[in-house]
Amino acid sequence: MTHFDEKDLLTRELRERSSDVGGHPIGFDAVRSSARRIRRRRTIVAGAVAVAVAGVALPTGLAVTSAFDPDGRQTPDRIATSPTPDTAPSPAPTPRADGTFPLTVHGLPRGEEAGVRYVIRDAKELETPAGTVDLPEAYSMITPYNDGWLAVGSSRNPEAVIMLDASLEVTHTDPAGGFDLAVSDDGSHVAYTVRESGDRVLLVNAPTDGADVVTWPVDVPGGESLDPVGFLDDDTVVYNSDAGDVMGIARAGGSLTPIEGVLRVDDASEAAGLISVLVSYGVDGGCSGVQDPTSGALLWKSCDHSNLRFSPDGRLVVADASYFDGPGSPTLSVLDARTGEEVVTFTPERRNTVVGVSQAVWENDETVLAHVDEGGDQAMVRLGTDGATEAVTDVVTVRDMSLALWFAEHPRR
Amino acid sequence: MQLVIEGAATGMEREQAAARSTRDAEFEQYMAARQPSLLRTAYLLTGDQHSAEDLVQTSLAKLYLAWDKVQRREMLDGYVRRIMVNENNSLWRRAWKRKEVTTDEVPDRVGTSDRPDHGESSALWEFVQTLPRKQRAVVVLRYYEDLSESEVAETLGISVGTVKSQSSRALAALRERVHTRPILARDGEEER
Repeated sequence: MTHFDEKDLLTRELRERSSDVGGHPIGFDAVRSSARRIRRRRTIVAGAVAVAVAGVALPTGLAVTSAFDPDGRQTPDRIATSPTPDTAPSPAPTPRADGTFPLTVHGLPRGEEAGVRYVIRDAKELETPAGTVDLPEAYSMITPYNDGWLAVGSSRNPEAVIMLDASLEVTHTDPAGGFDLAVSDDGSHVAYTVRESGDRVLLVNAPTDGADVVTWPVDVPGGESLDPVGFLDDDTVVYNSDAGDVMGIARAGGSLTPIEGVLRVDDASEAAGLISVLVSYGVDGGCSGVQDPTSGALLWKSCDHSNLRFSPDGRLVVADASYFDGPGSPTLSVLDARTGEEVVTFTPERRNTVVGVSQAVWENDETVLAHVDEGGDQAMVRLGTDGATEAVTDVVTVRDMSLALWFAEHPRR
Repeated sequence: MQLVIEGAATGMEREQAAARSTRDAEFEQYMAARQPSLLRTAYLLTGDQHSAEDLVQTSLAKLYLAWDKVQRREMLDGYVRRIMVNENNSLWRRAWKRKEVTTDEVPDRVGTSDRPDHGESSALWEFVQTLPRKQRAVVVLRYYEDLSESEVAETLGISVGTVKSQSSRALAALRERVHTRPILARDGEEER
């Protein structure tokens, strides 16, 4: 056995290697020029959003466009603080002059509890529509399975797929092949990955009633992770890898069909039979779009949005901005899944605070739940496809950019 | 009356210009103080000088745009570090890098050094460069920046468990590499 401390070796090498780094000092003018270029691009994007939003009729039929206020005055009712979920439906919200709606955690009316499961980090609690579950650990992802739970990643066993019984006792663990799991729309199936050896990962499709699983072996170069992205039907799983070129569709019967010509798959829709993909990249972000996986045809693409996730009915996608700042995406948009047309866009309420969405998931066909950080104040917010917003949790202030909570069945990008 | 209004407007403009100037001076001061350190971290993340400079410039530009919004100044370092790591891990840079890698270009060697190199150092550096991008970010933040596991997790927006697993995988790979290339360990043994 060689006696050496590999941590020290690594630290010393990194320090020595970087000690030689000098290069050309970056001047303030160069930084300011870069900042102007980025701002110009963001302004163009924001302008395009305003034009698009102002001209689109909402699929829910709510009269947002007709309620458009040409003077750009914000409706005072929207930021009232006291309405309760039992009150009569509020009037349709009014967008700002640029056609967008405010993205904020402050001054929102309180809405109902979340309709999806989420983990509260510090309390190690899983909040579900049926009540609170005290977890042994704050699992990275967790979903109901075989009258118990299936989890991926924990602090004690970080790289593992963990099965727990109804009393939350661990019954089985496997080495994980990635960091994510994917759940079918009706919750009847869950997909995850198990590492068989260095470069060999097993993609698993498991009925959540505990019936026999279906597996596909996938070779992933360099020991990279492999993750399920979503389902196209109960028997068909879409997968993705950090290895770059390893992405495809696993079908019943054992076949693996590679997805080609894209850089990454972000989501799959059972209802629409479509996938969302990253198709190209640019200086300050990439271009994403929606693809028909059967024909390989790209239905549309947008260079203003990224990480497109389908609504349960497959008619809409929720999208991040094409670029991220520190805490996450600075805007959130809902687009028509078949055309890419903007339906609604949320942009920061306060100009002097960094706002970022760390995670956003569909709660139902008409509402999105987002975890929003506004200058260190974090909360879960419900965003309607009609532009309405309400608070789902209290505001928690974090000092260190950590996440107070995350959605239990959705990956953190 | 008109004179009063014009005078007020000019005063307001002066105030705005003064505020902008103070803001820029403050940013420049921060930039000058932190740039060498950011460049070193960026170099370790990217593996070459050109990409490192580009990464730092873009990250500082994004920080400049958000300067007024980061109200808690003690969060500046964490904020810019997070921008830098996110930017480096961004899909377009990964894709760009993949395209560059296919040209088989040898990564830049930075400057020159008088320290003796018997081969173990470059072998170690080669090892670092083979690490998957996220794992490499964990290694750099943990073992170079000396951040705690929870600080690394916060910077990367991942769980502490993932930080643990990624760093232990990197160390395991290094250990395995040492068994096949014992020269890597020589430095450490000589010092004992």
